[in-house]
Amino acid sequence: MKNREQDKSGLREPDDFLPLTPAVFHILVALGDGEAHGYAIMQEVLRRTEGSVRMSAGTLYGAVSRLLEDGLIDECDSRQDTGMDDTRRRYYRLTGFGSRVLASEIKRMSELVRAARATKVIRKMRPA
Amino acid sequence: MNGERIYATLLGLYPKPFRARFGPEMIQWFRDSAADMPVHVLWLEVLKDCCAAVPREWRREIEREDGEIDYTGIADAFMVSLVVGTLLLGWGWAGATVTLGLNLEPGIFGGPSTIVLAALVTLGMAVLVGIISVLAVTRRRTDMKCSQLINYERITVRWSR
Repeated sequence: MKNREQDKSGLREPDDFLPLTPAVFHILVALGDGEAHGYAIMQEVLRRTEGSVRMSAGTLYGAVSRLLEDGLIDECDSRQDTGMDDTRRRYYRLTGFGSRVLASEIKRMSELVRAARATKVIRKMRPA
Repeated sequence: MNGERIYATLLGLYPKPFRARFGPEMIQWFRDSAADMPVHVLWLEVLKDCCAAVPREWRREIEREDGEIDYTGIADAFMVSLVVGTLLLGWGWAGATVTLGLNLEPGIFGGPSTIVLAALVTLGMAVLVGIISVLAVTRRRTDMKCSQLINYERITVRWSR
């Protein structure tokens, strides 16, 4: 049971979810610093990617729906903001299992980048 | 406010369970985005998003084992429309051919030719049958489901002593 966690669909390992789709990866990273609602997740993704990735509602909530079902994120009971429109907002946070999945994906991507950097093409591209 | 209503209407394209769960949040997302970006950019994003996300969510809903939508009923409505509609179109085509054969041109109302009128009436009837069959299936007024006729079970003969 070292690397196995009980997710909502049964016993699955973090590696079963790899590779993550770009949308799912960005959402998990955005939730890495703490809970957030949908629009805040979108803004965080926009900020982290310097405006290159803009997620619209269908993509965002479609991914959120899958992540909730798989137990990678869950909904928070507490609310951070208390604005006028806050009743419609729902806050999401990374679960322990979700953190492990994200860590596995980052490790996988790091290994890919390391392997790519070892090739001649990339070595030639390095500044002198 | 009007944009929000239009967006809420567009959300009707998503499967009902998805809409029920995320609809209010998506409307809130639209409201927040409307304050942040130009209207034409927002609508472009919304339309692009609908084109990609709506089919994806429907596919996902159909593949779900615990889906709440009665797809058998929808399949029945589609089959009734297809079968009855095709028959009607056939009758319409035959009627138009006879009409042309009897040289009843020009049209009854002096406007469109008889064949166009016959085709339009037949098409209208086919659409009407489609609507009626959808209503019948959704209100569970059908006695026999077309899907049962198509996917019929193999008839077996049981011997009794």
